[in-house]
Amino acid sequence: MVIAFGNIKPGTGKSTLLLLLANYLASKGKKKIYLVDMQTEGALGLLFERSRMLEHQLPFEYFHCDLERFTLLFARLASEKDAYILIELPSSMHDERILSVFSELQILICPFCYDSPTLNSTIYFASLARRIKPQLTILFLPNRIISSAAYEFKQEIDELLRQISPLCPGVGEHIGFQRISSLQLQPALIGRYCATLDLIYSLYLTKKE
Amino acid sequence: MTNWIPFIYGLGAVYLLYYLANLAFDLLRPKAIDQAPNGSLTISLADLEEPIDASDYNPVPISGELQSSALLSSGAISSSGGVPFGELMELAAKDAILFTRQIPT
Repeated sequence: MVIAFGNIKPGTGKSTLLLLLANYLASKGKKKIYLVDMQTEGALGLLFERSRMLEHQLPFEYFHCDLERFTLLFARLASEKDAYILIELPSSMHDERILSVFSELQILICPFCYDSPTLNSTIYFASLARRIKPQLTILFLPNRIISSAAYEFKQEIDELLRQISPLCPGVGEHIGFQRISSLQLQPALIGRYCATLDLIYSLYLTKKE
Repeated sequence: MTNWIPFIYGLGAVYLLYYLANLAFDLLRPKAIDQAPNGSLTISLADLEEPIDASDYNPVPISGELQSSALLSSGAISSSGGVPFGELMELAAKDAILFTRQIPT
């Protein structure tokens, strides 16, 4: 299954949430997991270097790849039949070669926050994804939700996003995300968000198998 | 007139009693504090979050219109077809404007 995390707005939590899902899937231990990082100098690359220095035994394989080499790498990874391929899409969508990446995707998870610049970028990104591949399953994943805060027009925004694609329950802000120092996450952090992850897993990640 | 020696002994005894009482008070007090948390309620912020109702998040079935267009597809997409990529982005921007207009300001 090919799952991508994307948004043209940087800093919405693509890398962090991809890592959270990768570690969650690894805890299930059913399939091989490949991480494909398409960001130039993204957070995943730095964390991978740290993991290597700390000699962590990672439960997944990490690859960095640009648009030019994607087709080759994907052909290699897709030869493994029963695997999760998690891709972090580049923030820039101005290269036509991104179309070949979209053609391989089955699920696109789009993390976002409820501030207006991020929302505008998110809606544009989702519209573009819909234009490129109309049958693609897109999931909106609200990130950095502060449980004690009241978000203005949250209900209207949720209804609007649901017109485009399904909306997942939000991922709350947590200090643990700021303390990530390796590709391997603390089990407590995964446990903290297991309700949201279980829901995504049971509704979308197991259905197409 | 009192002698100095019984006076110093008396004063020493008073000090000794005072410090013993102080020590005993310190030794007995922590037990009372330790017992308190067992009966107290610890509130984690995570508990305050509302539970997730999974029935709200059922995936929307793909409409028949989209499925029929998928049937007409001639294979894997490796380019934008008849629409230039720049035009595709412009169309997406127009779609996005239609959606974002619905957000009240």
